Amino acid sequence: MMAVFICALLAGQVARVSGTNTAEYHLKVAEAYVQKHNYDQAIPELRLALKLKSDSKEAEGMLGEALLAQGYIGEAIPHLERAQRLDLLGIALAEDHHTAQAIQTLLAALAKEPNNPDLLFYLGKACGFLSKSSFGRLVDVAPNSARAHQLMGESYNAQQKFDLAEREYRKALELQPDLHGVHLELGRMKQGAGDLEAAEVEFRAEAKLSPGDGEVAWRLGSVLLSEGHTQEALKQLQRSDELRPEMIETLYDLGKALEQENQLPAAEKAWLQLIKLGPHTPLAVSAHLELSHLYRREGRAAEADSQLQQFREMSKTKPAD
Amino acid sequence: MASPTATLAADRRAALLEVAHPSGLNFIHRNSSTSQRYLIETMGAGVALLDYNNDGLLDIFFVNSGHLDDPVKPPVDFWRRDPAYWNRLYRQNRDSTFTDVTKEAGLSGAAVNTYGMGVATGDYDNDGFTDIYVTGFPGNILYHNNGDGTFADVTTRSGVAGGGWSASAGFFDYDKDGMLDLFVTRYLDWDFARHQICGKDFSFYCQPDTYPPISSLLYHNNGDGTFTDVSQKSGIAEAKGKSLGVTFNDYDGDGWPDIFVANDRVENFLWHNNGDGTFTNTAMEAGVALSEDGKANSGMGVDFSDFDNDGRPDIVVTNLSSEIYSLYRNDGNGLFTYDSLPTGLGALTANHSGWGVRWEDFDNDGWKDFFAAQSHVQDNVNRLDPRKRYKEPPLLARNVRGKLEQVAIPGIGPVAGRGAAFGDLHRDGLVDVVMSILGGSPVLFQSVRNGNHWLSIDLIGTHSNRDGFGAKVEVNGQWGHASSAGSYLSASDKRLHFGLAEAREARVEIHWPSGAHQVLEHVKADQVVKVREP
Repeated sequence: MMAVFICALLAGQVARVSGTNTAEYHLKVAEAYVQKHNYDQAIPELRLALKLKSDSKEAEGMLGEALLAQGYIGEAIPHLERAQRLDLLGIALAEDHHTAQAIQTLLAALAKEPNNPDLLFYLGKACGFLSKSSFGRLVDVAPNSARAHQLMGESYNAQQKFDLAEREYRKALELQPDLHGVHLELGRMKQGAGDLEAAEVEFRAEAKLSPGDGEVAWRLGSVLLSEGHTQEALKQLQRSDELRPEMIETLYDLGKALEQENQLPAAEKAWLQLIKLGPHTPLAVSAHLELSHLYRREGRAAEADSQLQQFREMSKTKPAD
Repeated sequence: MASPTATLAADRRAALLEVAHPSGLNFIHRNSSTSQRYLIETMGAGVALLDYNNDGLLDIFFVNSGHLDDPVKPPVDFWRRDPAYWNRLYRQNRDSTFTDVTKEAGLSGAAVNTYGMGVATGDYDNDGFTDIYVTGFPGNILYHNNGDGTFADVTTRSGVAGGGWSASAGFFDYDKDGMLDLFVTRYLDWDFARHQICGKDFSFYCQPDTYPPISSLLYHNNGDGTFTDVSQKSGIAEAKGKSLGVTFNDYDGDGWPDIFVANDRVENFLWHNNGDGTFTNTAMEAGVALSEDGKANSGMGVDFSDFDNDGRPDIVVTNLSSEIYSLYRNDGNGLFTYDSLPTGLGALTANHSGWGVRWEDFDNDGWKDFFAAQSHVQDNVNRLDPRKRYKEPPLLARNVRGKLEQVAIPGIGPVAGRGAAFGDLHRDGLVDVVMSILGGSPVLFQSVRNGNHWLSIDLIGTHSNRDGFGAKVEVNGQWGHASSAGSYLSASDKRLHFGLAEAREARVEIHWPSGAHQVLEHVKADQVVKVREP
């Protein structure tokens, strides 16, 4: 009866398989079930197939897939391993909280399918889990360490509980004054609150700890620029550009500082470089507008109009209607 | 003995303004906050400083808003008959006290049922008495000053009732025919029927993006007490904005007054006066349409004056927190440079929200200082972002040769500042400020006396409009533009004030709108000089 049904279902596929008790037959029947997401009926067919042909990678892979789909993750993993189905194996490992192994497997799978949404989702989930468990362990084993306070600070910061965040950051710095990243976060918090002087103090402290960090140099240069300290901002932004060339955030602010210092050719160069490096970024949109103003100041009307047009197109702003 | 540097530092720390509490000034603005969070209820109302009875003393006119049912149901009644919701006129007495003369001046109630917003002042019929124009929703009112201490509502006859939601307005003579014309900004294409409630976990005032834009209005003065709506003919109606602030000056020095309009999350407008009755919006090309990085800010208050004493009018716009206020320095070739950061204005306004604004030389040192009424538009902004505050003290900054340094104002805490009007209330040669407060009592700031000298110019046009609006006045190298417009929803004293520092006399040069050129040599300092157009 079963065979009749499956034969009808597959309209000839199974008919080409000789005999009803072969591995190939059971595999084809299972494949039909899997295609219809009818996994619970596919699983016994696949077990029969493997019983008849224990080295069938196809049956292993399909059985792993069916078991995974039914939530039998632990049972699915060895089948997927034997079948070398990295994509499903990575997902199964992530679901089974074998996080480190899952991340490694998912990265390998993503190398073949970089835009697979399932893989990207599970990689993110696994990384998040790993992060959570690492931080949880940090708080458990060293609750009064500088890193634990830094972690608490970041947690409060994310929740917009800025006073609590600052308190934790300060505790971290009391315990370890040379802790990297804390002054940077404090500076960003202060900058967000509009307290530019305080932000500058923090960025300077971070820059002292990390003189080779291009991002820190940019942050310091950027806040100095916002405070109107153009010349010193320019020095920091140039330093940032040397430490970390091709950082578009630096190039945008560098252009602004150079323009304020009336170094128009250098400003133009910075903005053009930015547009070349990140042509579709929001900063490129701003750079087009900056260039239109710069060209107009220099009397280069056609180029100014062209940049303005590109700004209009990219920012989707229309002239007032 | 203190070193010169130390003395200079001490001078810079010295207070510029202090809070005053004049007797008789008991106005309370009523906006009627509702659970519906109608956007109109948080926008505030304006204030005007004018000498309505020509006694030489500045008087104060406050716009009131009105009552709102919660929710508003048609037919809408703003209860403007109730004295609590009247606009108010306070006459200044010789002893610096004030008397509420609203009723006797004929300004009690509102001739039409409007929710009040802004005020503009000017002598539109050249009879020597300042008239008052009040904006609001869903229409506006023109009060003609009868010259006997009373006003008459001439809205219908004059044809300037407008419609929709009007905000700031100003008188100016765009065609230089000697009669003041009228520009009226309109904010949104909105009415109560189209109100929306915004927010999920909690409600907040909707962003202006929720409602469509609308064009502003330009009225041409026909010279017979009537006006003609020339919004279409002039080109003004071609651009729809979300306009809150308006100010006038001649940015390109061609002798024709131009218009700058601040828009809320829409590009600002710079209407270049073509000299033939039409205007062209040049904001984008001139570099004043957007922030430096290309964003349309929440433009509210505006001023259009020469803050850096280079003879060219600059533009400042107050915005919401996180946007910083926009300062566009006039480069002199029809172009502006975004100058908020180098001047220090950006650092001073990084997390502040501003409304009424103006450059005024409060300490008479020859450099115009900066004042802005401040407060966020959302009264629950700290729920949206705990780093932001709803109520804020006003911002006062000393202008140190083009760089701004913040100066504290003793006696003022966080308030919901909105409008601001400027003028020498005390006749002591120092510019004072009246700031309107949303849903509260206004605050009067008086300048702190120092030894610097000053000169005030009161223009009397003969061929030009009688107020001399549009005249360019140079005093000892500083430039002023005669106008009562600017700030936010407010009107300032029409007289031009100049700080002379240590100079005891001045050279005054006036370029009248009519083309007349007048030079006064050796004008003694520390006086109000009435100058009649030759």
